Amino acid sequence: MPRFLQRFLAYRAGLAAGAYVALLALVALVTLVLPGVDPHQITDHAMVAPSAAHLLGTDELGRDMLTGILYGTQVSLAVGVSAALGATLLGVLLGAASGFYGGWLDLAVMRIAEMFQVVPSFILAAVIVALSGTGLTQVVLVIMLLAWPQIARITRGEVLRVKQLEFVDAVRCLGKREWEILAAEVVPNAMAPVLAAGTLVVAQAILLEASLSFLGLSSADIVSWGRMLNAGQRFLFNAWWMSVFPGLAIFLTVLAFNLLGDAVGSALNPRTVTR
Amino acid sequence: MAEPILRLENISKSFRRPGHAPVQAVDNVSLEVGRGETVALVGESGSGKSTLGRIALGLLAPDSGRVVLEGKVLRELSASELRQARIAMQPIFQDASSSLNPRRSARELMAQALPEAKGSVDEQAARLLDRVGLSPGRDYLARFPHEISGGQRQRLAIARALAMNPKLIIADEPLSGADVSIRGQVLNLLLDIKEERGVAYLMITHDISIARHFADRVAVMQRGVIVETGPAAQVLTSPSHPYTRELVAAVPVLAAPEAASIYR
Amino acid sequence: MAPILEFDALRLAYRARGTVAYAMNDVSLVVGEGEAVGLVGESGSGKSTLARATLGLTPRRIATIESGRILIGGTDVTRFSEDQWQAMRGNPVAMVFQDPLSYLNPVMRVGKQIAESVRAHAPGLAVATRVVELLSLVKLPAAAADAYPHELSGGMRQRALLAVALGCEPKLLVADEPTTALDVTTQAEILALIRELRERLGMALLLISHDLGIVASACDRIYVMYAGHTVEWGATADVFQRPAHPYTVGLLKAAQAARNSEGRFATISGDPPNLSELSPGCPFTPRCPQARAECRESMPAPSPARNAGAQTLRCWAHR
Repeated sequence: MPRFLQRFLAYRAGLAAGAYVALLALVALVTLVLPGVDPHQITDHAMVAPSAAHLLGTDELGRDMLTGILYGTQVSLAVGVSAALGATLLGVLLGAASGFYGGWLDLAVMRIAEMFQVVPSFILAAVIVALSGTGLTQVVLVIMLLAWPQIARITRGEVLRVKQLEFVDAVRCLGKREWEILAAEVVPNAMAPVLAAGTLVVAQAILLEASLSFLGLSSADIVSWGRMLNAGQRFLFNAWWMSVFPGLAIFLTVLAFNLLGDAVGSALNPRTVTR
Repeated sequence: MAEPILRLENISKSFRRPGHAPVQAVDNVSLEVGRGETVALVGESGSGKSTLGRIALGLLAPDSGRVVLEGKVLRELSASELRQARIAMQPIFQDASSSLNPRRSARELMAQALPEAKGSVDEQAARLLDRVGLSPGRDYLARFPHEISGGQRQRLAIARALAMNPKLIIADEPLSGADVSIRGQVLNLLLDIKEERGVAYLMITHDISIARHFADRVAVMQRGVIVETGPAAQVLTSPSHPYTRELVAAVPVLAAPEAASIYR
Repeated sequence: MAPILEFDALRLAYRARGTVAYAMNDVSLVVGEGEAVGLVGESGSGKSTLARATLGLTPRRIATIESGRILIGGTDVTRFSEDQWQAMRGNPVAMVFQDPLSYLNPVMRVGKQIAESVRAHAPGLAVATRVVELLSLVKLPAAAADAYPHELSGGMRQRALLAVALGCEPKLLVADEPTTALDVTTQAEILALIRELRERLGMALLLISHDLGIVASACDRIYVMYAGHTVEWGATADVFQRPAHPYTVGLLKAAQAARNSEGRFATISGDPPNLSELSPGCPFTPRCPQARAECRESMPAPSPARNAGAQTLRCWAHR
C-alpha cells in the first residue's frame, strides 16, 4: 500500500481533489454535530446580495446561503458515498460471479445490466422516485440500481482477464474450492479499475441527486444543493447568487470526485509501475 | 506391471472459435507416466502438448478419453473428490512471475499449500525454501514475487508444489523463462527432488537437448498426435519418425568446449 | 576502410525515479564491412540496449551516454539528434526484431509496406518490380504482397520484416533475437535465409541472441556480453571451441544441457547481475569459480587469451 500512496501522491490534480473531498467530509461532520444552527431558519433579510453578514447572500426566505451550502454537503456526500458503495458491492458481486462462472449466469447478468444501461437513466430515476416517494433512501436505491451495471461490466472484464492467469490454475491444483479462488485470488487482482470506477460513481450519484432535487423530486425538509438550485433558478435575474453558489458547489464536488477517480485508477494501474 | 501414476487414455480435444473451423488440438492421444519416471513431452508450439498438460492436470476437460490418476478416473470423481485427488500432481509453469499471485508474500504463498495443523507454518515454509536453495528460508518469507529474481521465483514455485507432497510434477516449459546460466540450477534441483522423494515428472518442453538429458522416456507430439515415443536417448539421437528427425536436425549444434574443467 | 559499426568504450545509463541502471558499462565492439558478428548475452547483459543504440532508439528521456563513442561508417553518431538519426535508419543500418507483428503496420498490406521502404531509400526505381524482387529474395510467394501482417504465420512475418529492411538496401542488418519467438524448424529456415541473403547482398550482420547455437551457426566472430561489459570476443571457432573467460566457459557448458559424470547439469552459481549496483571490479566475480583478489578491485584491460584460442578477453586469470 505505501507504493500505491507514493504513486497516488504523484498525481497533483488527484491530490488537490483528495484534499477537497477531505474538506467536504470535515464540513459534513462538523455541521452534523454542531448544535444551535438551523439552516432552515427564516429571517427578514430575504434575497440579500453577498455581504459581510451573509458571505454568499440569502435566499427568498432570508435563509443564509453559506449555511445552506455547508449543510447540503451532508446530503451530497451521504447520497454519493452510500450509493457508490452499494453499487460497487452489487456490481462486484454480480460481475465477478458472471465473469468467473460464465454460462447462463453470465448471460443473464449481462442482459439485465444492458437493460439498465440502455434505458435513459435520468428518466428512469425520475419515474421511480415520482412513484415511490421522495426520501433519501429511495434516491440512493435508484442510483445504486442505475450504477451497478457499469461496475459489474468492469469487474467482469477484469475477472475474465485474471482468471486465465497461471497462478489461478496453480492455486486450483492446491485443492482450493472455486469460490475461494474467486474471492481470494481473482477478485483482489481485479479491483484496481473497479475502485476507480466506484469513485466516479460517487460523482454521478451526487449529480443525479442534485438533478432530482432540482426537479423537486426530493423532500422539502432536506437541505440539498439541487433544491437550492431549484429555488434559485426562479430568481436567476434578480439574485444570481442563489443559483451560482449551489451550482458551483455541485460542479466542484463532481469535478473533484472525477479527478480523484482518475488518480486512483492511474495509481492502481500496474502498467504505470516503474520497476 | 504396477499401476502407473498417470494414464492418459485416448484423449481428444478440439477448440472452436467463432468464424473458424474447429482446431483438433489433441487427437486420440494415450500416454503413461510410471511411478518415479521422468517423461518428456516434446513438440513445437501448436502441437497440443500444453493442452494435453492442462487436461492431465484436470484443468481442462477432454472431449473424449480418460485421465486416470493413481487408478482413479478424474471424470468420475465428484468436485470435492477431484480437489482431493489432484493434490497428488502439482504443476510448475513456464513463468513463475505469472504462476504466483503478485499480491501474496512468500509466506502467504507457502501457507496456501501447507496443512495448518502440522506445527508452525513459518517453520515448515522456511524448511522448504531452504530445500530449494532459497536460504536462509526465513529471510525470504516476507518477500513478494516481484522482489526476487526470476530463478528464485521458479524455486519458490517449486517449494510450494513440494509442500503438497506430490507424486507427480507436471512442468510446462519450466526453463523457458530462465537464463541459460541458471537452467542447470533448476534442473539439478528437480533431479535432487526426484531422488529424495521419488516423484515422477511429466516435462512439457520444446527444448530437445533438455528432454534428451533430463528424461527417461520421451513422447514427440506433432499437430495433436504423438508421432514417436521411446527411451529419450534413443528417440532424440537416432529418431525413426521423419518429424522427429526434422526437429532434431533443426537444433543448431554446439560442440562441447575444450578444457572446461573449471566447472564441475 | 572504416568499419561499418563501432562501439568504443561506451557507457550508457538509464535513470528513472531515482534509480540508475548501467545497461552498457564498458562496451567495445566492431563490425567490419560485410562481416557477420554475433552478440551473446543473458538477460541484463545489455545486449538489447546495444541493439537499440545502433539505431539511436534508446529512449532519450531516460537514457544518457555517459562516455565513449558510437561510430557508423566512420561517422561519430554518439551525440546525433533525432533528425540526424532518422537519416541513418534503414540505410545504412536496418533492424529486424523478435516480434515482427509490432513493427509491421497492422492495417497496411505487406507489399505496400515493402514499397514504402523502397521508395524512401531509392526513389526513381521501378518500385513494383523491386517489391516482387524483394519478396522472392526472402522466399515469400508474390501473393504475400496482398496479405495483411496478421494473415501471415510467424515465420512469414519475419520474412516480410526482412523484406522491408532489405528494401532500404542496408550495409548493416541488426537482428535482435530474430528467431526467439519461432519454432525450431522455422528458426532453422530463417537462419538459413539470413545466411544466404548476407552472401548474396554482401551486407554486414549483427546478430544478437541469448541462444549460443544460433549465433554459432550464423556468425564469423562473436562477442560475449555480461552485465554491460564485452568480456570476450574473437573468431567463432575460438570463442566457442576454446572459451577462455570463465563466464563463456560456464555459459557454453550450461547451454549443452548435458550431464557430467556425476549426473549433474552444468550451471553457474548465483544470479544474473543487478545493473543498478556498479562496482569497480569485474561484475562476474561473485559467480566466478576462478575469482581472485584483484577481480574485486578493477576490470582488467583486454588481453589475448592464454589458452590455444586467438581471442581477446577481459579477465585477470588471463593477464
